[in-house]
Amino acid sequence: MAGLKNPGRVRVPCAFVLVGMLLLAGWPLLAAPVEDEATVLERNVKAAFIFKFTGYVEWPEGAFPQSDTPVTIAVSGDDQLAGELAQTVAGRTADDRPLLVRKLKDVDSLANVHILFVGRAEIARLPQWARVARAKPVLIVTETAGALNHGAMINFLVIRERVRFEISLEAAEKQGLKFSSRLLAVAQNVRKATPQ
Amino acid sequence: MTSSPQVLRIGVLRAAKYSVRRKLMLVVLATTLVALLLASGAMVIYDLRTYHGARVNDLFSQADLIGRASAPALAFDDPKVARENLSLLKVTPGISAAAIYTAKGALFATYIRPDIAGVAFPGLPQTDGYQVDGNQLLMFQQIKDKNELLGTVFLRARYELVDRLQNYLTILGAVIALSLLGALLMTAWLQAVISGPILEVTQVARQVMTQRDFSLRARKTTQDEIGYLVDAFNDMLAEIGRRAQALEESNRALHQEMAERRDAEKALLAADQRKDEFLATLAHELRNPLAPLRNALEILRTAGGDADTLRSAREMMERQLRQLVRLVNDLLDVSRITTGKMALKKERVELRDVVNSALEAAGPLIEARQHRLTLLLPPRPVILFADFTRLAQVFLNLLNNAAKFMAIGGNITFAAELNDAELVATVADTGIGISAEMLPVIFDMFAQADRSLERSQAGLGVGLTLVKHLVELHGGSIVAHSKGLGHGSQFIVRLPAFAQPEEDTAVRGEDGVGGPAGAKCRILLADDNADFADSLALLLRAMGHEVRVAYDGSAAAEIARGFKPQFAFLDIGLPKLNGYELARRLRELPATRHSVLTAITGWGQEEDRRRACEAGFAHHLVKPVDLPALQKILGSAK
Repeated sequence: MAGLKNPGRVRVPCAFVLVGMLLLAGWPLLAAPVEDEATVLERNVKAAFIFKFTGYVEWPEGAFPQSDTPVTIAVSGDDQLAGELAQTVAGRTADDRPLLVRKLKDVDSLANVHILFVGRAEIARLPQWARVARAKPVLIVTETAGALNHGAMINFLVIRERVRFEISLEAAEKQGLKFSSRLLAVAQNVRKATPQ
Repeated sequence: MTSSPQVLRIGVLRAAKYSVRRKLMLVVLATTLVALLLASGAMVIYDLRTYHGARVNDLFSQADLIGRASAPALAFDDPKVARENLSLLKVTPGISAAAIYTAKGALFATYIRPDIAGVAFPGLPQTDGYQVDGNQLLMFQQIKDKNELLGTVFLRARYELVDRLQNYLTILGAVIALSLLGALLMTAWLQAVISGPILEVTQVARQVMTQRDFSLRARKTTQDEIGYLVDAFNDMLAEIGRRAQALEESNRALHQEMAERRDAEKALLAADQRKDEFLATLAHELRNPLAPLRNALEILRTAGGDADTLRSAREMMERQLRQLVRLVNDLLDVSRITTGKMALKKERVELRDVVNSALEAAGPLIEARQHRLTLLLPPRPVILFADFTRLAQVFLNLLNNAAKFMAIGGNITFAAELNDAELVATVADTGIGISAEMLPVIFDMFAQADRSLERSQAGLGVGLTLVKHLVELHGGSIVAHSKGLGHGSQFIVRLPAFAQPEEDTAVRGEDGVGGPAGAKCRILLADDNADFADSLALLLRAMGHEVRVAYDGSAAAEIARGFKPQFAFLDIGLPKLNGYELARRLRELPATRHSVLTAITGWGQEEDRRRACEAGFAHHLVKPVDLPALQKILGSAK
């Protein structure tokens, strides 16, 4: 928690990216058809967490041009979650701003997007999203192990049948995002600086 | 409810009996106790309220902190973090247990202080607030984020209100006890200032009550109300003292007055008794000479020519007659004294003449009783301004008394001396004396030492009374002395007097040369009592005088014209012309203008004397007339 700010740049090694891509490619085969209760619950929890992240993350000055600019959540690679999330945020606000949920198909413009969720289906395109999002205050949330190495800032984990998450302060700081220490306190793992 | 005022009243009544010192102490203790109880009560209430408020606020803050810290844990469903947050409470020893519930009411995380066992958590959280359960304070505090309920914090904390109260009560009890003790000591020390003067006043009041001494005074030591009380008390004492004294004085005066009245009454009774005795004595004394007189008359009638028998009979009659005359004279004098009509004809007299006159009269008795008389007179003549006859009577009485109350052959001393302007004449005898009881009353009327009728010495008991009165009328005094019965007695008469100058003596001496003794006088006797007149004429002729007798006033006047008497003895109660008229007639006649007129009456009152004097009488004699008085008149004039 003390090492919230780490100005050092992180260079993601190529070998990790490749291994991640291979893993992501094989994920649908492993878990495609089974839509059981646990999966639904997990999705709901993740949707709720994503919404709750808005309360613990501080975007830089220019992220919201106007006082009523909505907080836009873009979902890529998981339409069901997008739908669930849309339900969750309905009627709610984050810091008096309305919330907006958008589905992303291809590599889209990330203009006006504040949170980007990249599902397992689209994890291969994470580096792309990360590149696009570079220098933009976009909180990238993933649900794939190792995603933090590829530009994700919050990555969901399931530990003992509980949805947890890990945080990369390094990535967030690059985008000018600040996490509340209280969020860090409940994070499973906080990556503060680039491991050498 | 009805008994409590009664109890209070009984308490007050009981307290009323206490001393001021005790009451003061009670007051101080009571006020101290009340003040302490009020102060302590207020303090305890304030403290407990403060404690309660602080405890609740503290717990509320804790709950709030935990709630805030645990909001993310709830939000992101992380009981571990919540537990960690709760475990921070172990630095707060007052909290025994804590829990976090989820928004749906499920137990999310719990904390139990390690040293506490058996804590049960409520199944469901309640709304915000706290409740007291014995010595536990239970608090629920909801965790909200943007009006969204995230969960509820539950805290169970020690709530030591009762313990605290007990501690307080213990401490306050000790403090109150100490304060009361301090107040008690303080009161004991300070109350001397108030109760001291009051006790002093009380002490004095008690002394006054027991000793009846109103001269006691309380000491004033303060200028406050007690000082005023002391002043008032002292003033009242003074007032009471004055009144008591006045009462006592009036009582004493009353007693004295009563005593005086009793004495007076007693004196009156005594006087009355003496009067009765006197009357008895008088009757006895008057009757005594009658029998010898009758006997003598019988002798005169029957004796014939025996000269000795006749002489002794005559002498007996003379003695008895003298006794009777003396008695009647004494009676008259007593009458004069009691009616205050005793008057003196004061003139210039020489002591020696007076004494000689008295001795002449007393001589027969003194000789008869064979007493020896010693006469001690000053060498130079002593002049007194006195009534010759009365003064002679004084000495005669004293001498007679001395002769009477002494066994045959006693000693009588008559001593006179002149001290400055006072004659001190002492008549002393070696007779029976006067008892100590009799001494104070010896001069009282009718007083006689021997009251028995068989007493040897006759008398009416008026002699000394007469003496005393006469002496006092002369401006003198008389005292009696006696060393007791059988030791003789002494009468000392003091009279104003002076020594005669030399030339006076000479004149007097010449005067005395042609003394009356043996001179022949022409004497007129006028009395309707022929026996008296004839017998007196016989007597005077026997003495060598030329005497003419008249039995009525006009005859007397007729005789006087031719006879030219030098002396005329006239009865007042004369037929035809009474004594007063006759005297006036004689005064007018040239032949009798210078005659010495003497009234002879049965009335010896002062009024009679005055009338006689107005009518021109030079002398006044009361019947029966004795020869020496006649001789004195015949001798005095020339």
